[in-house]
Amino acid sequence: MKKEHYHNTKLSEKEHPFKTPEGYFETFHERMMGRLALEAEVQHPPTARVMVLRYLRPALALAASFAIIFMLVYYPVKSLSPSLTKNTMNELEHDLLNYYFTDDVFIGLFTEDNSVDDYDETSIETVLLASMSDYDLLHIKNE
Amino acid sequence: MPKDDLIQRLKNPSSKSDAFRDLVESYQQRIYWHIRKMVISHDDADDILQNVFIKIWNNIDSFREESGLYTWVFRIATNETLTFLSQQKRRAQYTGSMDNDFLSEQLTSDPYIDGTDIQLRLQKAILTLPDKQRMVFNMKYFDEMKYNDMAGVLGTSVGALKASYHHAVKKIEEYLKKEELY
Repeated sequence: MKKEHYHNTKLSEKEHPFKTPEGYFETFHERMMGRLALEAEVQHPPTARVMVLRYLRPALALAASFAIIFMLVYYPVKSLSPSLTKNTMNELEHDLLNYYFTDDVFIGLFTEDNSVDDYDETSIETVLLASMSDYDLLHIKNE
Repeated sequence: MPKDDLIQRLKNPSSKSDAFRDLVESYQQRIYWHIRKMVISHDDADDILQNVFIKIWNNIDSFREESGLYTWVFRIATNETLTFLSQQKRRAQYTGSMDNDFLSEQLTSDPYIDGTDIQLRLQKAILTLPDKQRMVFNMKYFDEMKYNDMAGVLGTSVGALKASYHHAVKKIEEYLKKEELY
């Protein structure tokens, strides 16, 4: 509250030092009605159904927003290029299935030898040197 | 607007809201200053003023019109103010301060007080009076209310009010004289 906004509306001719904020009496009725509305809400709290709806309202609004965004994006894309999206997906799926279900690849999944022996020592050493600090290497060497 | 008409409109649910606006506009300033001169702080006066109008809104149906609307409204404001002051004093007793110390502090700290030195000295002198006598003094000296109207609001006889005001004036004069000596 700033001291400079003074508005003196005394009824008496005799002076007293009290002032009010500017526009205090002009806005009092609105504030009063706001307070009365709050009091009424305290005296008559909303029913359980209203409370549930009140809590669900943000979630419902969010879901509706997602639905609207989906509709706005999906349908224009689908209507503009229906053959493209459908065919592209089908071709991809078809190629993938063909790849996995050719005899060589399918059998190879079960017969593939993944043993460590296939790696040569030089590449293991390179990986270790890159991932370990000098301290770690010194520690290993001492051991 | 005739007061009887306003009361009937306040009691009628369909016109209550509009009538309440008229009531607030008619009485807000008088009641505010009545409260403010007693509690000193603007924020406290604002809270009490709102409580007064809420009580009026909630209890208008039980208003039996044995007294005028003006008297009834002022009586509610007076009771709310005196209740607030007694609560504040009870709190002040816990902190070990004197009865009206918190009001004297408001006189120097409230941002909505900006009077001359004489006005502030008079207010300090008024604060030395007991609350009810202070109210009598304010109503007579500042608001220039008639003793009959004051008697209706405060529920006291005219004779008692005259005596109370007379004693209040004497005490204030003595306080101011003493202050001038120091």
